[in-house]
Amino acid sequence: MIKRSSPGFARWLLARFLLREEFHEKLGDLEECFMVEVEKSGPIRAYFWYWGEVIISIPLLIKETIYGEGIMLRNYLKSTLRNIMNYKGYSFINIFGLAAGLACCILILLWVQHELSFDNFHENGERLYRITVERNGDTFSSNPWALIPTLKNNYPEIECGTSFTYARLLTKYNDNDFYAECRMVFPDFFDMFTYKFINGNPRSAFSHLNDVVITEEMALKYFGSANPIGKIIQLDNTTDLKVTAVIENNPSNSHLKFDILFHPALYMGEKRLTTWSMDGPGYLMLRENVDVDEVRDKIRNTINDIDTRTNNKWYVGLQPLRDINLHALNGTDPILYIYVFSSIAFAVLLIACINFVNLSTARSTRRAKEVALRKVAGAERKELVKQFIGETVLLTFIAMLLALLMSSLMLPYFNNLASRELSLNLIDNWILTTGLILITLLTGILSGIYPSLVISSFQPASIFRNSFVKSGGHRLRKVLLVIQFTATITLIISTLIISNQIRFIRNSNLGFDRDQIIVIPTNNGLRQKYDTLKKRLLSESGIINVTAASQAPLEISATNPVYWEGRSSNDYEMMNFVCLDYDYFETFGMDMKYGRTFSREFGADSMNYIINEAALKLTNYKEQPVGRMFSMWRDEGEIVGVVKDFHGTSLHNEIRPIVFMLYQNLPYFNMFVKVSPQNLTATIENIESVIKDVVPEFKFEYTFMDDDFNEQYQDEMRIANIFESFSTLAIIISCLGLIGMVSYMAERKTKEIAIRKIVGASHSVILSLISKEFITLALLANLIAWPLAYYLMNQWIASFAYSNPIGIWVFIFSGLAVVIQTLITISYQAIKAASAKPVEILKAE
Amino acid sequence: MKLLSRAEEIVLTAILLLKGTAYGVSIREHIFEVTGKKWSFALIYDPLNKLTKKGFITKSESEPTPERGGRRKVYYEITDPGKTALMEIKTMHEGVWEKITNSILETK
Repeated sequence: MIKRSSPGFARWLLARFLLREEFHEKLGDLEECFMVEVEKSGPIRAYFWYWGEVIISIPLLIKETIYGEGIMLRNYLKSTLRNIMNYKGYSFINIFGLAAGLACCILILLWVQHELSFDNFHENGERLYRITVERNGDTFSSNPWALIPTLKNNYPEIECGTSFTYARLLTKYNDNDFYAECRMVFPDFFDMFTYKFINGNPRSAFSHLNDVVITEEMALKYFGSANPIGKIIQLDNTTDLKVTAVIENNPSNSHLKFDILFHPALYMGEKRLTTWSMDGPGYLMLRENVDVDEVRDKIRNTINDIDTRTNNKWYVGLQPLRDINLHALNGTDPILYIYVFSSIAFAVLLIACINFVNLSTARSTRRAKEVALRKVAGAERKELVKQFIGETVLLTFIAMLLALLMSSLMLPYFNNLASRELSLNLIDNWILTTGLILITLLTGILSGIYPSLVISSFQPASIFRNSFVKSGGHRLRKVLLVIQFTATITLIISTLIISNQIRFIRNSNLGFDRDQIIVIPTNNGLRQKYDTLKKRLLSESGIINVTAASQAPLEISATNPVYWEGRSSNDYEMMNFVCLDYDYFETFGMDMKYGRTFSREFGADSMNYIINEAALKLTNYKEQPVGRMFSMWRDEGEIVGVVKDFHGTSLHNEIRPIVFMLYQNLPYFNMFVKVSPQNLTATIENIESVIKDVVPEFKFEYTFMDDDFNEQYQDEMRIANIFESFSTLAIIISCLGLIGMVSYMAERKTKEIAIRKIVGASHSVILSLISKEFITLALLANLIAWPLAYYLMNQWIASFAYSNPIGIWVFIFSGLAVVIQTLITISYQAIKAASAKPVEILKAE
Repeated sequence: MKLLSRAEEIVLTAILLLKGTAYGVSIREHIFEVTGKKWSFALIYDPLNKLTKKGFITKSESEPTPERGGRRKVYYEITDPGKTALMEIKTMHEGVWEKITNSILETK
């Protein structure tokens, strides 16, 4: 049987747009016509007719509703504004607190968005992987030169690959010379990575061996406004490169950073590219629809299959390009910070929302009369709930506007802090815009729902009779306060522990001296005249020591096979090594555990080795290492000394075994000059002029070792700074809320206080009366916050191999700080309430 | 003086002619007979609300009837000010149209 009643959903839909009083009339009319229509043209057509009527009518009805409610809306707006103006303090706490919370959210959202967008712009991004090499649990991004060609030959799943080896080299065009960040890549590079070409095109960019691609910024630096194509740049005073293309500057959301790109054979030599030596990272692009895990399994043992001499296994792995910014190979995954900051943003917003809800419910009694009057005048509960939710939504939108203003003012400071170039652009960034609108609406509705339900449930009669209403939501308010206290305490504890660990890193004794040491990168020309230069420099005043080495103590990473007594070149161990000049240990103030440092008095020292304690532990020499046999990729020599362990790499890692030897002919070499702290500028000028004198074509450039060291922990420091700023903000917002709550409480109890005073209560009794409740809540929050913060922070601390233990004082201090801050706020309000004349208060009744 | 809108004018004349039997459905039917146009439902309530607010018509509710799904009818009745307003608009119309004949309006 065909249904003869009108479509229920359409009826329901229409009812949403009708006011209560016109409901019967309009629906009834429509129903009647529907019946006529059924008689006339059958139920099915009538059905469609009904739907048609409803759909046509809705726009008109909406217009009418808006018009009808406009009058009411004006009234609501008026009462909202009056409420804001009448209670300026509360309104300030409410709006400002929420705005600060939202501003904080906006900034963190921008940051998170930026971090997640890293290297998303490469068209083939899904198929791009970085080659990783794992050994003894350490994973490296460097890979052997011969690996990529071998992989490409053996596995058809791999489409192409490129090296991305680093070098900072002197480049020259006419008289214009400066150091540029060079990356050595294979011609496949632009088939893999997507860049915008300003001149030239990706196909012909690397058609000849000496072709070079430079960024826009470099083009401007070398050639100014002249056409860069076809120009010749000289590299390291030896090789000529022809510019074939100019590409956009490195996007800020890419981990691939470079100034110029060229083929590695130009700098490394063809021969080195066929060896299994490692100099830098490499990337692969798989063919479409290839299963990565299968490829991973296949290539895992590529190196071990070729080199079977050692028990030391090297495992080849693949890391997806888009993971690189989020997952570190060793140490803390940066994605952890994304979680941490998202949690902070959430915590701050939560605290601000809790303030909002607490203050709104607490203040609800003040509005009891307004509600009662509205009810008497015929307002339904639904209308009142709508009014109050509308009010909070309006307040959150005001807060949001304020937050946008605040965040755009804070953005430059934040960019500086996070060392990013974020911009707040609401039109382009639609994710942020929708996110913000949703957050605002949600915050408004959520923080409005509870107070509005409480307020609208008041009975008008009892309100008018008593003029005093028991405020609702007492228990909820307590729960929220505890959450707020907990979040605040957890943030304070975490901030303290993080800054403590950072301070530990900065001040810890690394086992070597990094102050007043100037690092000068060298080139071939300087290397040849190094001995003359060293003599000249040492004769200058203010220069204490001069040495040179393949790597500074901070960045020892190259490895070589080594063996010792009882082992042979077929049974070797891989160790980090440094090639150096005399005076290395003296310049860096490193202490010897056994034996001596290299010295000119012993002619055969160029055949000898110094190792560190960690390396000694691997050998079987125990307490008597001096004079024992040791070998690294050449003839066997002996150990002349053992240097005490020092923290070269980041404190995230364990100290690795290191071998030191006298040898100065590696392509990369740095000079280290220890200077006295007096007349630093003059000394540096002296160094420059001496170098200019001895090696005229050399371009002098230097860094301070201390700065290099700080750079190593830049991420941590940056994180600590951001963390400190945001948790300070959270603490301030939370305090604001507390002040609001306490003053409200005190205000509500003025009558009680007045009566107690008349009966003879002292100030201290009154103080304890008000503070008891809050202090209990604060103590309870401590109980929750301590284990929570300990758990969270322990995870972070565990990512450091060396760390400052978490002390109990941090917890006690944070807990006490919050309790004391609560007490101070309460005392102020309580004393204010207690010193008021009882007569004045009671008279008002 | 504020004139009635065309929609208000049509609805008001319908109520006048229906003499006490004017409610949503009958007004709509009447309009269809007179103008040959089918008005959507919401379209007649807008002028009805405005006329009520201006005091040109009054509402009265009937008892619920079964053919309307148990809902009440609302009857509309014209008031004296309503009649005056109609009168005014009629005289004005006649003034406006007086000299306009069909032959002037013819298109080529």
